[in-house]
Amino acid sequence: MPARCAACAARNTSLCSGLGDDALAALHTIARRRTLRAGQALSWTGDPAVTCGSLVSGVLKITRAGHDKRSQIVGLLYPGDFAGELFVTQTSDTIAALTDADLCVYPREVLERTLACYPAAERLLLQRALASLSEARRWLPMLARARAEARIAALLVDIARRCGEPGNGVVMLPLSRGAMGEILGLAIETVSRNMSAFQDAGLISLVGLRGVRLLDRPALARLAG
Amino acid sequence: MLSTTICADCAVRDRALCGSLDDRELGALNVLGQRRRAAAGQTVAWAGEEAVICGNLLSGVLKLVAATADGREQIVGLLYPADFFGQPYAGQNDFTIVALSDAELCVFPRAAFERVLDDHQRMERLLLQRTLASLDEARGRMLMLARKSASEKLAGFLLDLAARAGEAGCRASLDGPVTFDLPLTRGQIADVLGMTIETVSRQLTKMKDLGIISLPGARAITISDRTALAVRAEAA
Repeated sequence: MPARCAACAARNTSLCSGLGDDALAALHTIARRRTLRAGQALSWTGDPAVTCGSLVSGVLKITRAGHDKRSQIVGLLYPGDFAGELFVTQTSDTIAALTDADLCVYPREVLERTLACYPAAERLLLQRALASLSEARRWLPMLARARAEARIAALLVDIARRCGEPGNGVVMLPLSRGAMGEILGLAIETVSRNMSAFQDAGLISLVGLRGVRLLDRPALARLAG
Repeated sequence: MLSTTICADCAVRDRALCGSLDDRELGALNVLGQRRRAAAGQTVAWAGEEAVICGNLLSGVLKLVAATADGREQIVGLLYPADFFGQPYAGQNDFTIVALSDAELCVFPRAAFERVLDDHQRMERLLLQRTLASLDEARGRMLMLARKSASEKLAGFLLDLAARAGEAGCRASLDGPVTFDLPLTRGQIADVLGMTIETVSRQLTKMKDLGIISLPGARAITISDRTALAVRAEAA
């Protein structure tokens, strides 16, 4: 097994999980490492779709831009997730790093050909795509009309699920209050006010600027709907 | 002889997932597939229940519905003929699927369908491509719901429907006005776009007064000025 793969923290959740050594070696051959600083973009809307990849560490945001200046964060990517668009020639979204990030990137067309040779990898990607689709659709009612507190509760539960909680139970939010507002279609003040209200109600406790401990997850899930 | 007649009468054979299969391969799916009719309003699958079926929509329109905490419903997707419905590899359905109009389905047991995918990699790839396209559409919907005004939402939706109606719509000349039946009621459109039924009606009246559309019947709509509609869909 290639050394980078052996040391990879995302290997068991990414496109590569469950692959035999030969398939892993084939993917490794076409991959190269790419690191992004927080704020740096992997690809821009309208760019030729040339690269995609597996996120090894960090969090990325996917932003869809309208024809005007308005834009909306339409997805977050966590370690193990697949970043980028396949089977298209032009990207429709901008993908940028919310935190420092480490990726294995592949040339899109080469990856498409490689996947055709390794059905297990393609199957995994299909399952991942189906899961992302369900996730995106689950967010829709939120954006359409849910109350601010429901939106924020849903996001907190979702982040805790995806980022995992370390032993001390404190989830480090990969997002600023501003970015949370951007995802949820809320003003930054609304996000801050509701987070404080959650704390006063004993649902969460805030630890520093980015840390949050979910004290009453069932209540949060009920709020989220 | 048999191989050339498999699914020969299917209206969507070339556009559906099955378009990736030759006659011999199609035989494997054909054995599994069952034609089923759903009357308008009938539920095809319930959210939270075990995901047991998937399949191709042959005719009609289906809606994918998410239940919200306040008991209201939000349409999170619409499916048209040749679209694939259901969730392979899922334990239970994430969304309820309801027929918006009378619909005809080609239904497969989910587990058996997954086994067919194992043997037909081209079909699996086509399903992957469709899933990614649906994901793209769902993300477009997120932008729409979160950021667009009522008039932009409705104009964009009508453009989408006009494109879907395509050749089924009626028009006198290539660039002329196109007339088609709305597959959704005002209330259903309101659910899709996350607005009230009154707002939908008010916006339609406004577009009619501006000469962009006309409403010749209860369900029929004529797009008279597509350019103006497109501008309206993207107005800031």
